[in-house]
Amino acid sequence: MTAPMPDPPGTARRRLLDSDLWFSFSRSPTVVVATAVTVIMLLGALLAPLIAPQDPFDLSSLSILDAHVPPSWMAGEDHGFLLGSDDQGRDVLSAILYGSRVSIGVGLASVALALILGVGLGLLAGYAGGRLDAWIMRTAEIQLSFPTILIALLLNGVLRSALPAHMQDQLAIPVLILAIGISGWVQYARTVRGTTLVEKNKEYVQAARLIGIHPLMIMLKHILPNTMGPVLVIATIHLAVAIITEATLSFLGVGVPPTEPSLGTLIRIGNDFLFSGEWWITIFPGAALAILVLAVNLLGDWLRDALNPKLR
Amino acid sequence: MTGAQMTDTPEALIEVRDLAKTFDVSKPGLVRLLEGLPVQALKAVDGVAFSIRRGETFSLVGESGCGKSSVARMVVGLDRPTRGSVVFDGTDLAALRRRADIAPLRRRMQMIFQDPYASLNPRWRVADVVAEPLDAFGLVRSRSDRTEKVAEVLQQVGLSPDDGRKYPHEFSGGQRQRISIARALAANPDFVVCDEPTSALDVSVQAQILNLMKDLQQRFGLTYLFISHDLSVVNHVSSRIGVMYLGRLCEVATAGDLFRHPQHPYSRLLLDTIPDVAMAGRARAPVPGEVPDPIDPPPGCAFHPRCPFANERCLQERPEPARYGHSTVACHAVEEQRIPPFSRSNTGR
Repeated sequence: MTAPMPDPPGTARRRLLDSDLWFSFSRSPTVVVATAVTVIMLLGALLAPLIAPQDPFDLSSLSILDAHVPPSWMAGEDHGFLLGSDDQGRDVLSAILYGSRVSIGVGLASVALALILGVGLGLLAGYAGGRLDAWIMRTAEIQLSFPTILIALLLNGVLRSALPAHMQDQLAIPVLILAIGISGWVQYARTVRGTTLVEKNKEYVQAARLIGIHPLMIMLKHILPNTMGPVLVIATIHLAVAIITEATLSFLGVGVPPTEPSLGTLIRIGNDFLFSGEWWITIFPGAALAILVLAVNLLGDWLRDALNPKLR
Repeated sequence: MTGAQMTDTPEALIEVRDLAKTFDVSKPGLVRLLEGLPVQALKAVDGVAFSIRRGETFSLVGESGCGKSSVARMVVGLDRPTRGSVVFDGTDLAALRRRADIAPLRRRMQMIFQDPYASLNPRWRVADVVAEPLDAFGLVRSRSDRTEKVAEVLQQVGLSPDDGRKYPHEFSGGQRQRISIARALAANPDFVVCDEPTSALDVSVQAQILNLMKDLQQRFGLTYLFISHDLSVVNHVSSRIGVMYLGRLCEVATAGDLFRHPQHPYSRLLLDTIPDVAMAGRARAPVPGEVPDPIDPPPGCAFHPRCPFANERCLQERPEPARYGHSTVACHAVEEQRIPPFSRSNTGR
């Protein structure tokens, strides 16, 4: 398959509107809302430098006199901080916009890593079978018997301590991505292996083997496209999990450095002031995180049901 | 059945010698160790030998599980034989190890599969499915060359060149089988293995596909190895027929000889099960017994538990194939001339 033949113009849109997926999408208000929320939050994160009232990383724009200001709509003076400010005088809204940038970025990158790792190993295990299959899947099962967060915490700790001190902050985000990514590959591998076992015995794969197509090419061009449905579902749900994991690690103080706060870091910072009545510093980032994860999760749930032919 | 007696043809394109395939069906190692179970081997094919002449259709028939599909898979190289060899146009396939050596032979042998719903990748357009062998063997130089060649092959199997844009799910079973045939023919093979190509199709569509295959055979001088359990289909297409039972060949004869004068008791039993108009509405004598467990086959002749002519010798000694008239038969009763001449519904029961 070098290149697919082009469609007559206009059919792609027609096909989308006719598809079952679109039908099920347009019939469920929950999903439409969840999609809208996800898109808004993604846009907010992406366009943070353009829409945020303040650059929370630019120390010259911060004034310590503005610290601990309540949200502007509450009784009292209006300092122009819609969601209040934190102990450094940072605008909480801006911090959330910039923070969700880090959260979503780390989430997407670790999902991508887990997906590549899991799909690759799953394909290999399923197609090769035998010893290799046993090794990969036993490793996966051992990993599965530990909580994901524990593995991410462990990997993060080990990788960090292996780095020289001056690089620890610099490489904190890549290390975090690596830790969350590696802790999440198992689900992909198990699903893809299962589908591969089914597909590899189908006759179209035999036909490809017959003409001497290289096994790697059979895996990539024949089997991989047929496993992508369930993988897409897992990836969506995993994105929510990855964002939560990152937030948890950052909340515990082992995630992203405080100079580049994610939603989790913001919640941790605000936590110190919760009992002194300055609830907005922690509640708003927390709410943002909860809404983001809920929306992505709902999207994933719907996708799983919509792509499952047994539930149609 | 190790004899070379069945392979004494001069212009053979395919020669199969003492082919055997054993599958390990034991429980996983740890379970076997803990429960003290023995290693179990299933002899799917056990010493099959035949040859196929250029331009003829050789059929293998037999009940499910007799090993006919395993033979087909070994002949095209999808499975590696446990024993024996497959010689294609003078070259022993098992002796070839390097990809570069195998590729030119692979182009010349193709396969048509049983299930038209599983034999086409659902995510590929038909044009890409048909062009896969062309791309793999580097038989096209340019995009336009490829499109042209695909259109030509699609027309040869009775489809429209425009069908290349579509996906497999837009076609019926019979049309899908045509696509499968188009893919097999794209690289101009000499030899095509057809593994029950019509068993998943309606009877009316079966005839179309069989006639198409016959036409193509005449046009391109193809040689077919045809696998089927359906004797009426086999009678329609075959030049010669091999009857298999439990991994062994019991009779090899021309289609005419086998249907008029079947010699082996198992061939007679099979022929007796073909529905015919004269027998309509009347109760048939049921076939006694079942196919034995291939993990634990009976000693001597594998067919003796069901054979009306079995005697003491059949229980102990395995019959070797030998020529009787124009046919090759592996049977003690035939050798000792203990069997009456064949007439329908007179198999001695």
